[in-house]
Amino acid sequence: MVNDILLVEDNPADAKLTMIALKQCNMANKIVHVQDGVAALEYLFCEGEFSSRSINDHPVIVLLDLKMPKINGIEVLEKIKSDERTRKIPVTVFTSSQEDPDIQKCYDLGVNSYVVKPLVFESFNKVVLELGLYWVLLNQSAK
Amino acid sequence: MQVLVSMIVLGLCIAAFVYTDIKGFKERKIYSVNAIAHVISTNSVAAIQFLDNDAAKKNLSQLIVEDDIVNASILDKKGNTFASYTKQQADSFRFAPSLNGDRKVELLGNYLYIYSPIEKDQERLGTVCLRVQLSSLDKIVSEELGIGSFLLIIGVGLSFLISFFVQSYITRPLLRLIKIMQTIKGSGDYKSRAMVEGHDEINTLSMEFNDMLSQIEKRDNEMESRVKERTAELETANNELESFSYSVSHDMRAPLRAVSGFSNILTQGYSNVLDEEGKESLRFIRNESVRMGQLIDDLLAFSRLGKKDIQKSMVDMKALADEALQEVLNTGPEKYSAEIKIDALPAAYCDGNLVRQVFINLISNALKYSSHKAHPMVHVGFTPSSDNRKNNYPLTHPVSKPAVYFVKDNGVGFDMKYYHKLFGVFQRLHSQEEFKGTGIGLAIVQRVITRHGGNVWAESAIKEGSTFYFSLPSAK
Repeated sequence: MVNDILLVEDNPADAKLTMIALKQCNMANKIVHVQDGVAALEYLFCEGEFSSRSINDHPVIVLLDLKMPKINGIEVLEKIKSDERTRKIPVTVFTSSQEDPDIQKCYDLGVNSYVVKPLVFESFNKVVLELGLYWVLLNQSAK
Repeated sequence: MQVLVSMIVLGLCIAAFVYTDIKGFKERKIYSVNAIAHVISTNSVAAIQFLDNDAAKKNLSQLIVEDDIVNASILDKKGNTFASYTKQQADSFRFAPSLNGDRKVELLGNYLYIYSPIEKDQERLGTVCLRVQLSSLDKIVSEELGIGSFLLIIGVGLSFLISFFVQSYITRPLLRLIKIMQTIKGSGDYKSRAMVEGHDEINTLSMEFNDMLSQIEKRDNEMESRVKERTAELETANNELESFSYSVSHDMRAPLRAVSGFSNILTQGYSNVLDEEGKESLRFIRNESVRMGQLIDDLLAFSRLGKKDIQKSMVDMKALADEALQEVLNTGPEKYSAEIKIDALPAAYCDGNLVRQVFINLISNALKYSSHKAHPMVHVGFTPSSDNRKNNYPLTHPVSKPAVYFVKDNGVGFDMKYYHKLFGVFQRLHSQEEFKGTGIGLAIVQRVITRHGGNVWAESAIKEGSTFYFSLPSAK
């Protein structure tokens, strides 16, 4: 069974560009895109529209934006990493913010990786590609 | 002091009084004794003419009424004693008058001698001599001196009393008030208050003084709270500016990236359905979004300069310029083939990081704008004179012999007509085709130097090159 890639991103343009880039990896994994923190948690904890999922069905990677409406990325991260059932899921924060407080807070909460979205599209594309390849093909997740 | 003066005055008065009294006493004595002598001499005319000693003696014995007359004698015209009188219990006395004397008065020792001639029809018959004691005078004088001393003592006492009164009711409260004023002046603590004491005017003075202190204290507190308010306002404004900068950074970038990304997708994937016009449109979209990104970065860097605290120290300017050059060459978009010379530079008191950026911007400009020349040359140096501006553009800070550094190139130069635009934000004097750039470099240079309290200016001639000068004030 191939696990999903969970993309948590509120900006449709950024989301689209990310998915296009990930598709270039030619991986078999399905890319699930949710637009806010609430939906992300519903997916991970198998609630709401995702109640048919199994909670042990961990995504291979969660690409998590920080600045989102309703629940922001930091809260989502906290919920993921504080729950026994989900805390081993690899999470990469993928955000425009280079602010030190954000970085510190994420690592305090146990994030697996923190990547700043490049300004220029070419770099952006390249970075997403590398992230995809790394987490899907290289990284060994806990089963 | 005043006590002494009044004592002296009182003493003088008493002395004058006693002196006058003595004089008066003597005069009266002389007058009255003279009168008596005259009476005696008149009464003794007959006695002496008829050589009647007993009668004369009887005359003299009447002198007993005048207590002060101790001895008296009637002398004949030859000077021999004709009759004499001696007061009871006194010693006898022999008079020795001159024969040709008028009524005479003599004061010898403590005795008064009166000589009154006895005459009849212009003929001198004899002399009445009287010896008067002045002992009662002594008694009077000592009495008066006694009263005088007593008065002096009273005077001293009264003086002290009055002085004490003045002191405690006037002088001491005033001195205490003065002391409080001095204490407050020294400590600047306007909370203390004077003791309200004394009467009338002193009282009023103390109360008015305290009122004034209260006013000062109140004003102090008002000032302080106003300063606190203002500081809070400034802090708020600063924080707002910071979050504004952050917003610029974060929120403006995402759409930009999207524009870039999707136009790239179009270019990559849909060129076959685009004609030349379409492809060129896409190119413009791409380029402009790149530029926008640069502008955002530059603006952010520029605004951050205003907030950062400057940390000054003595900096090796030559080393700094070398570092800046390295960074320009390493990160620059092009290879530069210029001949670059950096002279030995004197150390300056400044923030190394910020001034490094100044060198980076100036050197980068110099290289960029001379890159089209056949033999591009860039020279970084120092001029010892304090003010060698050829133009008279106003300085932001008064010049007081600061160090003047320069970066000179032989590049394309700029038209001095547009000098006033040179340091403007995003102001450029050349097109993007000629030379790339956002026009923020010099704005940053000016901001950094101005924040150091220095001056920056430039000179140029078209096609010949430009020289950019900046000065940094010396350490105070």
